[in-house]
Amino acid sequence: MKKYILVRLLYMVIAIALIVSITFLLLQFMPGSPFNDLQLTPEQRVLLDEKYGLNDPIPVKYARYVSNLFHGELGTSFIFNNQDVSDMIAARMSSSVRVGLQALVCGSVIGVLLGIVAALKRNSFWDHLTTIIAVIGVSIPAFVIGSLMQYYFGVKMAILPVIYDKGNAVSTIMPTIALAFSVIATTAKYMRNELVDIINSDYILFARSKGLTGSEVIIKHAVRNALIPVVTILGPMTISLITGSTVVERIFSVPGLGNLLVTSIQNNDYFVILGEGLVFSLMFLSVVLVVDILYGLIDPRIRLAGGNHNE
Amino acid sequence: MEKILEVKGLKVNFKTQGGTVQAVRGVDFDLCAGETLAIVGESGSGKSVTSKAMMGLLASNGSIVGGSIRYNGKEITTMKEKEFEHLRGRDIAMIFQDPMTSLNPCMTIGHQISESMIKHQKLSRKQAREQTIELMRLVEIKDAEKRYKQYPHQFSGGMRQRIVTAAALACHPKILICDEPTTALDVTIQAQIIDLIKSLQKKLDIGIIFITHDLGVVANVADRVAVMYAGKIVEIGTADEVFYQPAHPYTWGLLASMPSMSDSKDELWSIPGSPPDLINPPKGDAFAPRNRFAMQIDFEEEPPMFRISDTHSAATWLLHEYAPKIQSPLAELRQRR
Repeated sequence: MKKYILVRLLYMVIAIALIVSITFLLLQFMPGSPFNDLQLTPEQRVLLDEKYGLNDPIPVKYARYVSNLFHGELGTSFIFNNQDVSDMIAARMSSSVRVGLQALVCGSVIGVLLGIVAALKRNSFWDHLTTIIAVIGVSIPAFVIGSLMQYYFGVKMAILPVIYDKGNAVSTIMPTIALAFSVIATTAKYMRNELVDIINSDYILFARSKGLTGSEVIIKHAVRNALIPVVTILGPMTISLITGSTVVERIFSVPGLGNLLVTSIQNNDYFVILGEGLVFSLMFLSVVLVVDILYGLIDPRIRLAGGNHNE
Repeated sequence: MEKILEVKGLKVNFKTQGGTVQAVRGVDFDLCAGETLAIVGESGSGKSVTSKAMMGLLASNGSIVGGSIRYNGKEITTMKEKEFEHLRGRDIAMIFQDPMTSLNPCMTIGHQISESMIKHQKLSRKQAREQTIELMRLVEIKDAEKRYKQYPHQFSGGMRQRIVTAAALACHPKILICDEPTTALDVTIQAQIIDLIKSLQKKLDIGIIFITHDLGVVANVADRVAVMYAGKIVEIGTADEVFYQPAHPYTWGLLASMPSMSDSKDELWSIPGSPPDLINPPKGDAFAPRNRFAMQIDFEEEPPMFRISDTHSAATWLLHEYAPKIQSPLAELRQRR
């Protein structure tokens, strides 16, 4: 197991190196520059470009960035008064993580419960509701759901604050729901289909033939096994949370990473974009690693294949 | 002998999109303590459905629409699910066809075997563990203590069937239903599992209902044999009676279609035609269209069970006093061999 994790960590380092290099290269081809302000004269722009080394050849810029990275520096922002990118990210982390985690936890708990009910009562109201939520959650982007909620709950009914406010827990409800929708949809659908398969399997019949009650069979034998594939989609779900957050944070004015990413892309704020890319990829890769380790812990068949031979 | 199970006029229907399937259409048999009754028949004859009805484990679209099943004199078809749960695993247990899929892949086998002990006998985990290890030794699993903590994928098919058997026997049931327990196994393993079941039956005095389509297995295990066709028992008797003096044309066909080592020159015998559609069961004898000895009345009226001896009876008009006396074609076939 140790060896397995070490190898996986090595792969992570390689992946990060590739991601940083490719993002860096792509940014060089982006039109425009950080100094697009119309009030700046062409001479001032040339001076600024010179000062920040933007006219250097790409390999030189790349080498400089990487060597800074090794010193733990993500560079500074062009736009926000030379702020350190790492400070900017650190300051915005808490809001993003809060909303993201809330969405992940609420979403997966609701999704799993909904999936269980739908599977146990097939073709009932709950089953149809789950299907409807799943279709809506997958096909309607989070920002549409977010804006609709803002209009109805925030403006028309005025029961929830439209804008996120760090000190006010109620204000996190709407961005959380907007983000959680796709999580609910995916987990519920997975859970339902998996559980339906398992309920019709021989080992459930055998468990029932031992005299276990219906709920004992469902909880001990069915739900646990159905959760295994649900754990695996935690990875893809984090992606959808990250991408969803960029827009959802924007419309709810959450001072988070997603919001910062959108602003920095609009401003060609290279180092901020790079830093954010690095943080997002790190988050995603760690989730995938944790999921793989978890998966092995839950499913004994994988544990063997993964190298942790317990015989 | 003491009758522990009596089934009378059992009827089971399944609602499907194509219509209501009458899977079991009036089945009577009984089982004594310590005896083995084999139920044979081709796929779709209703043998598995009969066994699931006895366990109260019919699929949700199936239901018992008539008849009775009495366990120790107690009617179980009308039992509430809560009551039935006390019976399942404790008094009536079941072994399924495919040992590769009948164990939960994510639960240790020790846990799966001890589950019903903890449930029915209210044992502590420690007591259950001791009994389970003893039981694993009884079904001849080596290194029981070590293997207690292992998962199903670490066992071969034959070993898994032993585990399933151990789990079924955990609370010393009076009746064990074996639904084709050897069909999915290699022939050499089949023999081991059958020997195991037979020896456990002697030790624990269990009544066994053995469902199979393998007549070779039947000859090996059964005290009595019931032959099912299209949801009915068409012939029932002791194993000797059914094998050596079969009376129903379907039984003749079944026995004739059993390949033997000696007839390499002939082609394999089979019963012509296919089983009837049980959504609209035919009038008269369901086997009549495939029966070359069928008479006019076979297409008009269903034959009752004719008694041949105290233990042997068959449902065919050929046994009626007015029917022509027909020599079983088996004799002729055997001579040709």
